[in-house]
Amino acid sequence: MIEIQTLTKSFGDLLVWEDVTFRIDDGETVAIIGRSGCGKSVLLKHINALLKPDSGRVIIDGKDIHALDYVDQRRLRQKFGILFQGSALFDSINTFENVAFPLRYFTDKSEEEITETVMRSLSYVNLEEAAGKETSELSGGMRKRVGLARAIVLQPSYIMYDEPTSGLDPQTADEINELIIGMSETLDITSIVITHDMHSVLEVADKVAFLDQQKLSWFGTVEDMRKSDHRELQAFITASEYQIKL
Amino acid sequence: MNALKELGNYSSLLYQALRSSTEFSTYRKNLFQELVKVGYDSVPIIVLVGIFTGSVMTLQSAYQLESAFIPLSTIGAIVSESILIELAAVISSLVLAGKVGARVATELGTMRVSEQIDALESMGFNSVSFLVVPRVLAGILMFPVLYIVAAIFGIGGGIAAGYFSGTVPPSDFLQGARMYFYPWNVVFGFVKMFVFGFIITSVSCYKGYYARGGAEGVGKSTTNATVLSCIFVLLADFVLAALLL
Amino acid sequence: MKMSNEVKVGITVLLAFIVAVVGFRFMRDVPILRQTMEISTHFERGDGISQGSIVNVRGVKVGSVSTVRLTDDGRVRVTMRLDGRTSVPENSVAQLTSLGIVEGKSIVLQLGDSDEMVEHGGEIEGVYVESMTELLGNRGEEIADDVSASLSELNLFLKQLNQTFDDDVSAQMGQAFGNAEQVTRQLSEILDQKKGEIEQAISAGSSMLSQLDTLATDNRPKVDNIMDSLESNIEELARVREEMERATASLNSILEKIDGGEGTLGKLVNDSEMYDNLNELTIEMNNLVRGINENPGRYLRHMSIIEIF
Repeated sequence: MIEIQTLTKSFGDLLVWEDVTFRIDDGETVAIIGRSGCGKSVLLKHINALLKPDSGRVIIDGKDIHALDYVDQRRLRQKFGILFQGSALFDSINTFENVAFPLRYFTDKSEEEITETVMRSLSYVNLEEAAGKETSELSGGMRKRVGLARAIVLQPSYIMYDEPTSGLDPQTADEINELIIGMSETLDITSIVITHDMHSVLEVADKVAFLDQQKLSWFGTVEDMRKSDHRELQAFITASEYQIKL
Repeated sequence: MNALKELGNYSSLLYQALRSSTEFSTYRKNLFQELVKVGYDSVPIIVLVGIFTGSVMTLQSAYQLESAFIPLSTIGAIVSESILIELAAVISSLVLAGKVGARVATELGTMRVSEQIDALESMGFNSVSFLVVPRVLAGILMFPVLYIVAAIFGIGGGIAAGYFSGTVPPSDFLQGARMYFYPWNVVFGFVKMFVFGFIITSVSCYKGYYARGGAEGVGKSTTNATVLSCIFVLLADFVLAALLL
Repeated sequence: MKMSNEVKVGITVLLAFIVAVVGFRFMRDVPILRQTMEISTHFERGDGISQGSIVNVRGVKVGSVSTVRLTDDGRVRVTMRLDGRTSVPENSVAQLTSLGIVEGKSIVLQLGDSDEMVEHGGEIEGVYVESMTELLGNRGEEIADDVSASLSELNLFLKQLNQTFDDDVSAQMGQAFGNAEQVTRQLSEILDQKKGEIEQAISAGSSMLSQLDTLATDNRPKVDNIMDSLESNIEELARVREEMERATASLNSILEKIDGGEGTLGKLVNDSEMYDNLNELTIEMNNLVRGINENPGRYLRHMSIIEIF
């Protein structure tokens, strides 16, 4: 369970958002939506303490991650898998090694066990055949999938997706959406998805957090969202749906 | 004001690096990789730098000291002493600021802007320990080694240049070089290279680690890293000379 | 063969270490592989030698100085590291000497004839040989004194020469010229004195002739009278002439005396020996100066000029 309490962040004089409070229960998939530059990724990086808030707390399984010292913070971070926007694959090593990377440093697994675990992770994302490839040979969709395989290899309790479908063609985007659903169902992972793709939201999310006007403008279930009369939220949804229809 | 802020950030990065330098298991593999990249891979260019520094020094000294009253051995003394005390360290470092510094800054800068550093952190890595510590350590450890290479090839190049140009016979060159050979000069050269290695790698790591703004930002921080490394190497050279000589 | 990073690092560091040690020993002039032998010696002083200075035997380098230090009894102990194959007899002498004027010092081993050879760690006698420059430096003062004395003697001689001219000759010559001047002046005075009388006489004669012209006819007896006075006038004229003749004669006699070589002036004028002497002296001095100019080293050989330069 992740509880975000009265979180405020600004860069210099520029306020990103203030007083953000919401809760993510285990097993849920929460989508954080909002216009570009509204601070969705920044919020994501606060959840696993890659960035430090000006005030407020992020409580993960009962522990305030920002109050921990660096060593405990890092241990807590390993409960998270993150799929970064640009996949953030290490380009000095190949696909297999990318996925195996956390295993080599944080587990005592033997080489066989590592191979087995890596191949299983890759099979979740249907990329066993790409194991030997260099990361530079991978397409955008494949990179995302390898990133996802790497994010789940340590069997995290939480997985965070930063714009998982941006820059992909609709078909590939759909594949990724299916993977996100599959992850949360088969691996029983709590997911946080950052996106501005309403199609994706409607497909994968249970709850929606809408960031607008430097605050958490709306928070609730997907069903409530459809019925909501929140003006900015409806405008955002309409704009997205128009895009989808097109 | 900005400079002070940068100094503060730089110091805190160094402090973090120092604190996390105990996590040897994290950076062991990277350390050897960096030792190879900084040391082993730089040997050819340093050999080249050494040979040319020594031979140019010899030819020019021979030209400048062309007098019946100055024994030829003086040229050997001047060349070998200059190389040991100054040139082997400083010229090599300036070249390495371009080679090693630029590579380090680009690597870390790219990792920063493509979120690879965030990815490392989010996996539970100490990114400073993983990326900065092995690079700085490699600089500190390998620069003195490269000094040996530069010094040996510098003096060798000087002897060769004196011999082939017919200006200084090797025996005279060596006689002068030996007459004014003070072990302290070598120690001083080692100290210099140790400091320069630290400066170049740490400044480049700092610039790369805090790069931002996409490919352009990486380019900018790489340029800054090289330029700052060179400036600080020269400054440190001055300070060390003032302190230790 | 693909090397692991650890192997590459190992190779780099190991090679650098070996090269550094070899290079260091090479620069310190320690033979890298060959056996060496250390012997030591004592000198009164150790000017100009230091670690790395060369040790020669008959101009061939056999080793180098490894340590130079002061002993408790105020001498300088020098340890030399020699090529192991060098054999140094027991009674050999180590000389600390210089290679040249500007070059540094070195140690030259003068091998003795003993059959016993010095062992490793042994000791031989040491002699400090003063170098050219030091010799010059030490004896410079002495030489400078010599030169200075020579110069003052020369000075004295010249002064005496000058004095000779000043005191005797010069005074005599002045006297002679003074006499001559006096004579001329007296002569001039006499002429001045008599000039009035002569003029008077002439004018008187003239007036008398004119009077004679007018009076001749009408004053015959007076003419006789005038004739008498005219006669007396002429007598007086003759006396003046006689006096002038005398003065000229005495002037003549002075000039004759000078001509004859009597008195200093005469001697100066007539005796060529003195002139010759003076002339000779001038030539000699000229030669000396030219000689110094052309080849100062010959005269100033022992001066410390080289030190100055």
